[in-house]
Amino acid sequence: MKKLSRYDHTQPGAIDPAQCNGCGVCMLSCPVWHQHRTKALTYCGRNRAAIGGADEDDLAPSAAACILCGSCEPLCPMGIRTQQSTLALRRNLARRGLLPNPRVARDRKKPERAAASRLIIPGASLRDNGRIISAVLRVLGGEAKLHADDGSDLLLSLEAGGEVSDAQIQEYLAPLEGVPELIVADGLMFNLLYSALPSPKSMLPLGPALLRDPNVRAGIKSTDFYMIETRAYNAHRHAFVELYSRLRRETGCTTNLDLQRVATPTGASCMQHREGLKTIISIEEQVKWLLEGRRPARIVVEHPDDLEAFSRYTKLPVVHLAEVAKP
Amino acid sequence: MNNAGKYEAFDITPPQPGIIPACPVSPDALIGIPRQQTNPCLWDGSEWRAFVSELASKEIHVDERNASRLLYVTDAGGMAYGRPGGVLIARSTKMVAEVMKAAQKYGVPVTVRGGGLTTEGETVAFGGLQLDMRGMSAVLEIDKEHLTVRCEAGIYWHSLAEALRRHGLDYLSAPLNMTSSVGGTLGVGGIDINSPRLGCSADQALAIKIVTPTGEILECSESENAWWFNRVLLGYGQFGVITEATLRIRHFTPLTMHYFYYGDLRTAMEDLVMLCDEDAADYAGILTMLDRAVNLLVAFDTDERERAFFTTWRKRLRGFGELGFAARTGLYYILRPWKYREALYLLERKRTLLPELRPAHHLSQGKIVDRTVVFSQAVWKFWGGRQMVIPDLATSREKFFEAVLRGNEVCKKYFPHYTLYCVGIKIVGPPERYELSCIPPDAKGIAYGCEFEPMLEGRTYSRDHLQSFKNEIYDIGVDIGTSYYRFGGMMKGYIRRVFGDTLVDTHLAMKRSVDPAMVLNRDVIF
Ligand SMILES: Cc1cc2nc3c(=O)[nH]c(=O)nc-3n(C[C@H](O)[C@H](O)[C@H](O)COP(=O)(O)OP(=O)(O)OC[C@H]3O[C@@H](n4cnc5c(N)ncnc54)[C@H](O)[C@@H]3O)c2cc1C
Ligand code: SF4
Ligand code: SF4
Repeated sequence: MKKLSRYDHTQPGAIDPAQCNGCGVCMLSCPVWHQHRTKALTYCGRNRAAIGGADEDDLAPSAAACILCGSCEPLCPMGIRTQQSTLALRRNLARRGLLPNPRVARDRKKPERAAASRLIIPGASLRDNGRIISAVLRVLGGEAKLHADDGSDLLLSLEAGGEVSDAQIQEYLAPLEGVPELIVADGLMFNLLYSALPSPKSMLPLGPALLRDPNVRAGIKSTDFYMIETRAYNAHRHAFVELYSRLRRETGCTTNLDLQRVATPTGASCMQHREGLKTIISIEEQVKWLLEGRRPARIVVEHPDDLEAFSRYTKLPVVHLAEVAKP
Repeated sequence: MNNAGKYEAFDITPPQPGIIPACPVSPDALIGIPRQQTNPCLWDGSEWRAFVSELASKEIHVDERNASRLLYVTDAGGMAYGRPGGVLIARSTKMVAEVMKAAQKYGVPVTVRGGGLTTEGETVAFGGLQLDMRGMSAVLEIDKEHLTVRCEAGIYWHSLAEALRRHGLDYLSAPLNMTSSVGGTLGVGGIDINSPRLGCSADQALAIKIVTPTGEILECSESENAWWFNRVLLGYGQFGVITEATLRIRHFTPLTMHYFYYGDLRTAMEDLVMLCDEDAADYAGILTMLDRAVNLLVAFDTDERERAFFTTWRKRLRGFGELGFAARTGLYYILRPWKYREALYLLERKRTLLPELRPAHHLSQGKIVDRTVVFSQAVWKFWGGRQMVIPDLATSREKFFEAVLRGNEVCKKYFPHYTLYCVGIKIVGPPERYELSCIPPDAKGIAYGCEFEPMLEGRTYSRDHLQSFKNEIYDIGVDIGTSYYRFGGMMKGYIRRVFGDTLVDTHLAMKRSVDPAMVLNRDVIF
């Protein structure tokens, strides 16, 4: 796998319109664009409005509409980090009360030192799903342990534009330093940890970590639709695109990669959906689009939230990647 | 052809709609001096409120918020700036019809925008309504048996390809730019590297649904409302808004691509013309790096066509393969060490651009799977910027060489590095379709086009510099009698000089009769 690029959530400045040339390529894979065809609600729209002279306040509806799937990120020919730029815009807006602000992390318990050679940061949705946790632990082997503090409260706060102090982040990171291998189920958490930890020895999103196991790969069939977790993949496409191209070649499955090799989301793991906030993204429409013209016999997902999304809107069997492993 | 002498030098009074203003490029202007550009003046806004209210009474709500209007202040060219009074995202043909009826009634200009990839400000509204067609982006029907697709006209070609690919299908030809829309492209032509075989994108349309400037909804094809069909295709949005289109499509095939390298532009052009004339390749085009590093690209949809090419035509090409060319070029620079900067530039281009044209994740068994994605990404990455300066000339076969070689010299004067992109365009439609269009009137069989694309390389150039460059390229067209892929907008002043009064006045009379208030895409041509 190629080297992952650094991802910095803390970079100041809401957006960097000066670099945007307005090509609009970032809109092409954006689910908000796909469902609404309203440029103002896309990353490109936010940039173009700002270049034209719009105030940050004017961009609030657009910033709130974004589901941070990161599909725009690998496409920008100017290399603008769209995900983190939207997070920064949200921070600025939330500070002025212009965004709905869900729970904010407070009064965190001091985390315990993590003692494992392979530590899984489960994120809220894996943490709450015992069946999948067992399957994941089975595949990853005896040395893998679930981290008690998954940091999802911090993440939620970051996603919402809330204030998370440096001290809180440092406190969360301290026990993770020096862990030989970290496996992170939530894509945004992966991106954050990857940028924040000084030198992660080995850190992988859950999907690629599970795919290292030949039994897992052998369990994927040509009639499967394989749903890649979008946030980590899109932020680090250059590192993972070959892995999934190979998976496609070797198994014959179809995936949620579009013609630009960007991962299309269901929208199920975004903050708005998880927190029951108003969202303009219909998961049903996303699922319909993902399966349009495709006739899979089964859906295999990397992110636990996508299990529910597909189960609700299709009659197909839906399984987590950890569950497909051939014994 | 050249009627410029007829006009007084520079007239600063705002022209009435429908009157093409005096050409600000005076006939005796020195070649290369900074020129005035021809941005139209801001519409005075009379009756705007009544227009907006009438639409509101029909549940059509014009977005007048500043942030929405600011999204549209310029086009891909980044040279013309204007602001609409309000924006409307088109959602249905009926809605567009209501808009046009009200626009006629109140005399409100309507500027239609698809992808907004014009470079001369044609999609920039100087007041009035900006009608964003991308709200109509649905794929309505895919007919696998007859290989056609019916779609709404605001859809990006890329989104159409995305939908078609799910069914193992593909569009035939489209600009090498993923964010151009079907409607905008049918309105201007649309050149692909398979245009020497298939003609322009507009020629792939079997039928279109349009809204006339007075708000009538018409279904048009060669057999139904044929006059409208051929006026609206390649008509620069002057005669109607395209809301739906039925296009010919094909089964998807990955393609094999080969590059041949030349140390001389003219030789490469001769070979391109030979390939186009003899239909030797499915795709063919020239991309230059330097005068002595010219790339002729050929590609094939099928192995049979590729084999036929290598059996019959390869030996007639005078270009080299990569290795042969590298050896010759290496020797050339070893013998001329003072040209080391040029050599370094070439090496850098090879290192950065070539991998972008063959990214592993867009290849399957050595074939390119998503050519538009690959090219479009590369175009924006290497040539893109806040200003897209890509003047072009479209010529007959006979004038192709002079036009390109003269344009090449102009590029050298203005920029250290640039690329020429040359293709053929087969003429497959009836002659009336191409009147006053990118297809030059004197071209027979195949027309040829060349885009002159400076590499701005992060440098800041003044608008005058860029505009002078464009004018000097466009002047070549006036001088030898060519057309342009894009004209109108800031090029409006050229139109009479290029096409002559008779043709322009005929079209102006047609425009007046179908658009009495002259509101649809005002100032693009008329
Ligand atoms: C980087 C770059 C690369 C390009 N590469 C190519 C290329 O390879 N080949 C090529 O041919 N061109 C190319 N172009 C030019 C551009 O892509 C084409 O002009 C394109 O087809 C325009 O499509 P659009 O949707 O952007 O149209 P717009 O720019 O939005 O509109 C073009 C014109 O049509 C009118 N219009 C728009 N929509 C409609 C409609 N629905 N009905 C009626 N009128 C309408 C507009 O008012 C305008 O006058 C390139 C441009 C750029 C900036
Ligand atoms: S992160 Fe996703 S939803 Fe947000 S602008 Fe980018 S592509 Fe659209
Ligand atoms: S892809 Fe990048 S440069 Fe293009 S519009 Fe989006 S942010 Fe701007």
